[in-house]
Amino acid sequence: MSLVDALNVVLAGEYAAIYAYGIVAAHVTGEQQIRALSVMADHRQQRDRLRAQIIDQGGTPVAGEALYQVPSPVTSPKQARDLACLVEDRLSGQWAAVAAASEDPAAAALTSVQCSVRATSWTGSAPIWPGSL
Amino acid sequence: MSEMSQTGARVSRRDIMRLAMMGGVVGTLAGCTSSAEPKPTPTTPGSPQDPDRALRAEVGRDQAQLIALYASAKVPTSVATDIRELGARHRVYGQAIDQHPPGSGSQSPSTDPQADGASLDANPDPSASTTAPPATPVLGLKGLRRAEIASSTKLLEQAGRAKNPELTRILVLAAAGSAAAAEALKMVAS
Repeated sequence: MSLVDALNVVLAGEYAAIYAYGIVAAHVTGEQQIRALSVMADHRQQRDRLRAQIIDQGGTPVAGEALYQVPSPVTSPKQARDLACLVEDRLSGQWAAVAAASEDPAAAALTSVQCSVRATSWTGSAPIWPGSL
Repeated sequence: MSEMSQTGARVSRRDIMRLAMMGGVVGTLAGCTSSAEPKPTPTTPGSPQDPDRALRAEVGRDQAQLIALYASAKVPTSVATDIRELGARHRVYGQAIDQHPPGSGSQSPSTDPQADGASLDANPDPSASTTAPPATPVLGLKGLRRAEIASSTKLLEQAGRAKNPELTRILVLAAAGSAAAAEALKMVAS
């Protein structure tokens, strides 16, 4: 996979994460809601960095979708946390692919780890292979 | 959405195959890339021509040490099963980076940490069986968490040294898995 392709895959994942965290924030309360909104802002920044990086690499950033279908209905705080865990887990796997496609994998590798830790922090689930949920 | 366990699933051939399938998904997406991309020279992992041979052996030893740490850890009985499953991931990581094809190694976790270490060492020393193994410190939950964090940090450094992009990806995923285990241990301890 070329670096631009890998970056576009993770960019699509970041769009989905931003959308998902909007749902998450609407279904959790208190500190978890504050955290969800904070993480959503982080993903927006990551999205913008990725778009710039793809353009710098001579590629064309993929566009986000207007609507995303969540894997299962979210009507409770637990389901919201599961959704947050899922999007972070998928991002962890996608960032690992970016690392593999990069000449200097350090930054992408660290982001993969951060996503994995964030996924676990939402539910306590620690999949053996991040990106496999 | 997949049903999620608390600290991880049973380690099985499925875990190894899952990694291979994840690579397959990436491969499908890679089908869109230019054929002009440089392709690495195919080598058998662990063969003398494998530029990552020493690195694979090093990671295998590190994972074997973690398996031994988990096997000797003193943890509350109420969470012992969860902790054991967290530790078992290091066998999966060791097998994934080893020269053996995924799934060809022992599938049932052994309770003998030294046996685990031998199976994970890519370049076993024939004289090792006559040498006393290094003492394994007995750790609690906090100690295991520190060990997982240290493992994640080292795996990231090792990923930066890998020549094979797929090995890089596996090492990054293992680093992420170790960091996730550290987070799970923190939640168990609190």
